[in-house]
Amino acid sequence: MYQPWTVKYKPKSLKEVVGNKEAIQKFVDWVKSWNEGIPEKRAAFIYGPPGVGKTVTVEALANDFKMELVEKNASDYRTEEAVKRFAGLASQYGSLFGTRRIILFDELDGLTGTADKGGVKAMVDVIKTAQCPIVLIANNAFDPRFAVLRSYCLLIEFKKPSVTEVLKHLKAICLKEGIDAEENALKFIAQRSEGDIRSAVTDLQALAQGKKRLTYDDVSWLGFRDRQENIFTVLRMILYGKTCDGAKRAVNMADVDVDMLFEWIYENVPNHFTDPHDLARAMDALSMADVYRGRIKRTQDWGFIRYVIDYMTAGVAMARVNTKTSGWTPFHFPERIQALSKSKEERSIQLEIGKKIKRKCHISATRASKEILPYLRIIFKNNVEMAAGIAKWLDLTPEMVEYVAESKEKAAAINKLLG
Amino acid sequence: MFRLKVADAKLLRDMASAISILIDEATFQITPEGLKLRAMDPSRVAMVDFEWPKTVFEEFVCTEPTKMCINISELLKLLKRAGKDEIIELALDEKTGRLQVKITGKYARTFTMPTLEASEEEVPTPKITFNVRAKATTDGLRQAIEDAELVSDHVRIEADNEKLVFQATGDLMGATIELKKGSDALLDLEAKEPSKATFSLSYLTEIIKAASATSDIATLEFSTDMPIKLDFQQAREGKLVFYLAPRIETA
Repeated sequence: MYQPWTVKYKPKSLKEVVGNKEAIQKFVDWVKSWNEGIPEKRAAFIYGPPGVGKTVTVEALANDFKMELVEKNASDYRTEEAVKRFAGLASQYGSLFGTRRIILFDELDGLTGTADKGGVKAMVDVIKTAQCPIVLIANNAFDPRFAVLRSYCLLIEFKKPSVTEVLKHLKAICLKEGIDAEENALKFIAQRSEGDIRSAVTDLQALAQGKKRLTYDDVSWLGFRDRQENIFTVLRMILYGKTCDGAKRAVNMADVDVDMLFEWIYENVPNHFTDPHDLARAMDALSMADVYRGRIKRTQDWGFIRYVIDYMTAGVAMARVNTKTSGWTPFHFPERIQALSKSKEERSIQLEIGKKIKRKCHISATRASKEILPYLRIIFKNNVEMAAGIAKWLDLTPEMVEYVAESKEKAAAINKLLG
Repeated sequence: MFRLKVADAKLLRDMASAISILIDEATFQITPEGLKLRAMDPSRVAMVDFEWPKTVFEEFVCTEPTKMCINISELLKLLKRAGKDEIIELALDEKTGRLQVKITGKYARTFTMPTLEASEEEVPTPKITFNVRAKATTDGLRQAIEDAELVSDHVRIEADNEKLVFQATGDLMGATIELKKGSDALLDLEAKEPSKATFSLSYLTEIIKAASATSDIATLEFSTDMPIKLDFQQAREGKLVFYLAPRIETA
């Protein structure tokens, strides 16, 4: 029967887990502290890159301590109700078998944006009153959507294990499988995995299963794999890229889409290209990329995407001629995106008011909010009675009145007249 | 290969609906002796232990022990289409791996549904020494639980040799429901020592509601701060038992 080696040689006990000794000790101490009553932090947030043994550690601990592990993946706790049903009960009620329980929310990264907000909120509620240890796992604990969650958790970072540690694990597997492997072949696999033990073991299985010997020649043809890198690494590859090829390759590793990456580059180029000529060239390249973005949008011909990518990566990288690398310059989140999301509420209320005016004045909502709203502002600020009359005629809600009047007191006076 | 025939569609439907309270994907074990299922809910707070010997069935053919996992709420949808006295046949098509559900009554229809990967987990029965054993009508229990549900989402069950008490305390309101020994609702009560434990009302209500369709009398067994066992006596042969873990009480 086919069985992945990642499963077959999965550590059963904490002793067998590769690397991260300090983080594991911190985790064990926290779980043990539950014996003396409920600790200050009722949840632990384990984070770190993929394949370094986060989930395996929790499973091994449950096995070592004879605890009942109740675990779920992100897809199972998207909504508030789903979290409550599963974890609400598990965290408040005992076990049927008299063992202690540990609750694991795995792959939190799988939760997406606002749609799953309810899930995160419910998790916070569960943690606040939990009667048993709760463990959260994600690649990136510092994602803004986990901000609230983080403050209730003991943060434990898992780092990539060293090549030597991965190598040791691979050697142990080869011994058990009866494979005579060359040291430098295994070393190559270990290096190539960049600390991802799971992928190292998968590679080893693909290359060595069924063989008696594994030589360096068997493995050396493998290239280095593209990994999902965080946005900062990707930006560094583009803004400080020496070759066109390197800068272009960064796009494949980015975990954001091309449009978002464009915003990131656009935001950060000015801070990193201090030479004005370099900056001008970079901006030229970006403007060309944007021209093609516009064409894609208009024609929906996505074939143009290759020009967008070439200009915004290679074009920007090659623009850098005179700028010297000096010290460390931080990367910023695109302000345009931030501004758009900040003004979202304002734009929506403007539009709502526009719609109200549209009904009465028979003009478009956009035109109403552009041309009529400014006059309403002046009236609402200066003449409370007239404002109340207009508000009644337009059927404005108290929030809309407050928005137009731009002051709480004025709005209160107007709303009072409205009754 | 197996083929099961149930003469009363309602029987099967009620059973499926009782099981569906706790689990979505049910792995049934079909042996030459009968149909079995033992599974825990996703939060591992509750367990259902169900067994129908082959005598319950009109016809029971099973050549070798088989495990079959199905989405129980999907099956329930199909079973709801069956009238009270209609006949239901379940058979596994081994070639396609799909379950065939044939309903015959006024007219005949055949549904097929996919089977899922069976869970390999062997769930053991909890080993608990129970100090209290109470026999009550499912109807009486249902009333008591529904009263308690008005005020809270969990209920404390207390018993001594005289009475069985349900105590619920919510944020605003409280409720006390007393069943005296020998009353219409409480048929029998034995307590080795006075005991009390708290349980989730969301599960209790749903379990009792669904199980009372299949059973008139239930036996409750529990001890202080230990899981409760709810054994619903079946009209025909067969077993439907639920276990529920107690709430961890903070001092």
